[in-house]
Amino acid sequence: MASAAQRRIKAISYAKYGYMFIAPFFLVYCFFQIWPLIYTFILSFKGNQSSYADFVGLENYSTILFGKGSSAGAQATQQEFLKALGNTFILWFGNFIPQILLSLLLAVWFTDAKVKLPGKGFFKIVMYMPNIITAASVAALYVNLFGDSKYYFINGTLMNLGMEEPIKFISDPVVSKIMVMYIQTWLWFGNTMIMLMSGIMGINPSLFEAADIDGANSSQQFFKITLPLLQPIMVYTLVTSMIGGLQMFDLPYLYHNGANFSRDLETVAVYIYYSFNKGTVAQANYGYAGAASIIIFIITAILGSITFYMNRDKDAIAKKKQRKKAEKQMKAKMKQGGLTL
Amino acid sequence: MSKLTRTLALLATLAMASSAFVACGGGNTESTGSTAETTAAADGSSEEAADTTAADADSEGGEEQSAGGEITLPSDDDTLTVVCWTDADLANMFDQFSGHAKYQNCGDNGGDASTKYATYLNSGDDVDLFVAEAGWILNYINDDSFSAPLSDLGITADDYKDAYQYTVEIGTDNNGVLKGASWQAAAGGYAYNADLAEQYLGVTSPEEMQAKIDSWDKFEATAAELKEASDGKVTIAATIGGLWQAFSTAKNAAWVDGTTIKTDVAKEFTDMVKGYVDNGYVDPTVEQWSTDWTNVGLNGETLGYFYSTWCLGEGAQLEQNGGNAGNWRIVRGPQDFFWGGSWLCVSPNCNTADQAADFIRQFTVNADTMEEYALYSGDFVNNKVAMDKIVAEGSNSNPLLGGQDQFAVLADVAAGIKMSDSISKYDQSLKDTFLKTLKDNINKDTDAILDAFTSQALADNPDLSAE
Repeated sequence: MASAAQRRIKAISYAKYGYMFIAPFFLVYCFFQIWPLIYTFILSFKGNQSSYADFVGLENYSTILFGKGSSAGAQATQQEFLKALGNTFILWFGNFIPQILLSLLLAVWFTDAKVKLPGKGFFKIVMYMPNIITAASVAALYVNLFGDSKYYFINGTLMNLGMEEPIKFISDPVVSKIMVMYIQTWLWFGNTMIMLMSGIMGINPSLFEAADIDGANSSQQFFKITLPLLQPIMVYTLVTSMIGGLQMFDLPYLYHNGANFSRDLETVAVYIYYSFNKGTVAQANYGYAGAASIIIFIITAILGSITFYMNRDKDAIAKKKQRKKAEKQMKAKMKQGGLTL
Repeated sequence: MSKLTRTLALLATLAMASSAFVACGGGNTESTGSTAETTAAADGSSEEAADTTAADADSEGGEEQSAGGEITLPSDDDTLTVVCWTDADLANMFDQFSGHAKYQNCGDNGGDASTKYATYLNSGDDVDLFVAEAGWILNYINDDSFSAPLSDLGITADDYKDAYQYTVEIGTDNNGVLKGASWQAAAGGYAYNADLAEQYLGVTSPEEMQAKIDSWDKFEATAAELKEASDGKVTIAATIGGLWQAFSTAKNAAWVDGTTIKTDVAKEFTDMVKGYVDNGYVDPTVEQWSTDWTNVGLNGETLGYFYSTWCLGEGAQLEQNGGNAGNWRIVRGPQDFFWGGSWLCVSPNCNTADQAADFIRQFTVNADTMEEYALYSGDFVNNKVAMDKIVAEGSNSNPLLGGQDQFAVLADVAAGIKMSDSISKYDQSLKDTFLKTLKDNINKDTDAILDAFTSQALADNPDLSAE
């Protein structure tokens, strides 16, 4: 039997102080993260401009997805949103694919013990460097280098060399997209490369040595060893890049002439920003912005799940299934009373 | 014990949370305050400085001031806070006259400042007065949570009998209450490069120039002559945006009638400007206010620009675009127009009513101080008495215009501007959308351009409908 003092000590729980200490974080988190998230859902069910306070149910969704709504511009709104969605995917694919190929190639070269590249450290730093600059500065830099008229460096130089008409690097719908893809690639390939290098260096070197001894050439080593073992890192890169790509905002918004953003580069994030950021409450389209945010959230969630599903460790799953099956059989046998553990 | 801990935890949370409630605070600059300090020093006691400044100004204000109505908003000795979008005007204004004020710069161009204003005015930070632009003023003066009537400061429409009437009409809300007072009449003119005009058109004086472009037909004929003479090197106007401003503001037609988008003026303009672009009288790729816009002036590739009064001062657009050589002149152009303008509006949260009233009177009512400000800044002030006096005395000459008095030209323009219901709260956004659509689709036919514009405008504004 425990003494009274011992019982009292047991009764004092220190856990509550722990909760108190972490409470500030959770309160702040609820205020500034959870509530805005919930509020976005609420906003997506409310009206736009002068009817911002009214509850309109799913009308915003039907407007931006199917062009069916009470406003005269419902179809135009749908077209704009779908165009923005299309632009988002075009810009993401256009920068992700070259970026991953280039990063993979460089990562393999930089980690290969047989290719003795001089100045590896230097190149790594230089290639990572663009990622340090803010997108705003990068946009300003490119807009001033690649301006549409002969007064800007690139076009000026090309025209001095004999080109007739300036290339519309900024206002042409196709060329401007290519430029943004290029800039995104240039900004991010260094970062991806470092990520992939760390993945490759995590692979057991004895595998490569064994492959060498067995006479595998570099491409065989790459496809049979490096790529399969790099899968977890690749999935990580794919998922982070996808989330970043679907929310792409800074460059598409900043890469333009004059006062307004370029409609040819309008991504969903730009559309959202443009819809709600239009002056007073009665001018802005909070409903559309909210609905577009939720839609992009759902798309991201679906794509993320698909990626994870496709890249799950099939061996581990098969093993887990086997183990479960064995357990079941064991239990069944125990019920029959034949065996005791 | 545990209560204390809990309280402390809550306090810590609130402290952390409150740090996040900071908006639009970056540009908060006290006006250099040299005047304020000297006033205080002269009076000897700093606590009384505020009261005495206000009182001094009152006595200087002259006869009209005492005639004012009753001030109903509270008044204490807090610093007068004015929300604005540019330092240039306001810093000068305060240093010249008021001294005792703080300006909150929301840092954006006049067209886009509206968004930042909404954020700032909703944030609950101190605001007594705010400056609004013609393109979006209606969003603020038609909402009582943003603006209070000027009569709350004892200022009535009668105070503005010498003002240019259109500015009073723009400052009046839908219920006929006066809520904004402009210190500028933002009349505009056509400023041209006199060297190029002489070289290609043989024009040697502003009068001759005006005779060549005093209607849109003549303007186009002159454009053709210029193109011929210069071998297509020189355009008559720098941008489509400038042409639009000159063409549209005097047409007396709002973008929106009730909730219906009207495109009559836009159609007329599109027809005209497509001809200009096809014939090479204007370069559609040059954006208004861009680097290209500056370059075409500096390199002598355009004969002239449509400028508002606020482009003509020292360091402003005229100078940046080549005016510092002094070989530019200004004329009235094909049509009287105005561009922008700055209305002072009162916040319902104004707590420094005496100073605010004094400030508004000095800049929008009092002819003497307004005249002084016009001569100081080169701005065309909103007072016929002051402007007529300057023009009659010939006391103004602008070195950027080779000594020409721009006020003499702009006074005629300002008198010629007529407004009635020709602005709506959608103007700024619809104008931007229209010009962008026009430039992007300039090679399509007029109907296609207008359709593209209407559909974009409807997508942006679910409140509106098409014709």
